[in-house]
Amino acid sequence: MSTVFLVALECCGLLLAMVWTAWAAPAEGGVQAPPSGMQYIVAGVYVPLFKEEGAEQLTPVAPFYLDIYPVTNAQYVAFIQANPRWRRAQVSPLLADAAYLRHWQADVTPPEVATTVAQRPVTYVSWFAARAYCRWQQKRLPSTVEWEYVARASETVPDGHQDPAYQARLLEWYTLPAPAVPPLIGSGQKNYWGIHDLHGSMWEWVADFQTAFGTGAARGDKESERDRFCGSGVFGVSEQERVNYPAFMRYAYRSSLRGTYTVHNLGFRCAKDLP
Amino acid sequence: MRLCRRLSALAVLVGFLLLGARSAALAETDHAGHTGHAELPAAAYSARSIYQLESVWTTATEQPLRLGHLQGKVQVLAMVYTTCESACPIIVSLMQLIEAALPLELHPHVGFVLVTFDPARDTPAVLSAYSARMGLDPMSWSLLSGPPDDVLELATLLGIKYKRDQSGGFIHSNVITVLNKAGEIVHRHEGLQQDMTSTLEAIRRAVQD
Repeated sequence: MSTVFLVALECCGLLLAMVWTAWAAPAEGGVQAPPSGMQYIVAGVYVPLFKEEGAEQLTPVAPFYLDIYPVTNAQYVAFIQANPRWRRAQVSPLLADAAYLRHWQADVTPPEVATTVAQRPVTYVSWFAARAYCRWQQKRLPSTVEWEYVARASETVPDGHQDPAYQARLLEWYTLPAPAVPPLIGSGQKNYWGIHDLHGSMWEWVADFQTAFGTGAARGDKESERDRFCGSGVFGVSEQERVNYPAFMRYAYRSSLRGTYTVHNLGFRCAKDLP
Repeated sequence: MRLCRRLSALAVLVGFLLLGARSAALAETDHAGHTGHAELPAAAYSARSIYQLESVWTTATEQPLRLGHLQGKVQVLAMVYTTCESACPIIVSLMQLIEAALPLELHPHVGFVLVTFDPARDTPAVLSAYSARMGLDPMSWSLLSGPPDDVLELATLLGIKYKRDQSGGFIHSNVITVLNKAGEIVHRHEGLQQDMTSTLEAIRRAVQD
């Protein structure tokens, strides 16, 4: 009885989300202009990669703003100039590992940055650093669901999974080795939402990477691993996602991260709630 | 009765102290806000101290608390939630085992901290009732709730993963962390194994340091 009620409630939520999508989409031009450098992302629904038994298949996504490009080295220089404790020489080892900003030749070197890497995405930044940058901008990191929702779009449609040719190209990107230095911003794909460079050159931090479990929450773990986690849910991969290898790779990648990690091909962009 | 009265007087006093501390903390945040970057203050704590966190938590007695106020004692800290039926009660009982196994002379130097994954449901009143139900000594145990974003930040610092599941509970790492007097992580007890030898040894060493 109560299950039926809950299902009905969820359906209502879903319906509302869809109605909102239908209402918001055509009005895009009329919606309050997004902050500079950001795009308005219309509400919708997202199919989680993993679902718990008995869980709803779809997660509603509220509308939000997302940075068009990943945060660049030049932008990050401005951040550490305003916030010296995020300089390479001063950062707490609790908040970033020893490789933090190692691709910069000196602690803060705007000229060097300006000539060679200014307009490339900043990498070698920890989750704590990325989060602090976004806060400084009065923004936040996007959630996994938000990031994946936007990343699902091809150049022409919000759900690129409908397009086998796009899926094939996407897969090809993910099988190529990552470039040693991320390419200039804007050199990658521009998707349906007007968001650039989500695929192909590097990984991006999300606010809740900690929710990706690599071990413990899955069946078949050794006992010693299993009791490190509390969770009774058995995970199953949703049917629609069986072909989505790139999403699997991202999930696996996130599950391997720690908040202090800094990596040569891991950067970030910021999101923002609607006013 | 008299002890009770004395204790409540003490509680009021501690409350005032904490309130004072809170206004100071807020003033700092406001100041930082005006200059455009709500950042941590200059290093009053060691570079590896988790007491650098600016987050303001709420105790089971509804007092604001910054983690830095835990400084000076060795702290044994875990993240749990009160409606958890499987692992969390085990974690708490492991911590009680640690408390019981500590030599008496160490007791005044060791505190126990539980931080909830579920601040929406684990209000101070709920945490207070939980503390009473579990028989936790309020003089040595702190039960904290805080804004979800601060919970996420602390969990990340402690290397703890968690995720809300369909039933409204949480899937989470089981970790008991030992912090030295400066708030640096000196030991992590991972999983639910009963052998507390290395954890007790870490606490003993941290008290002596």
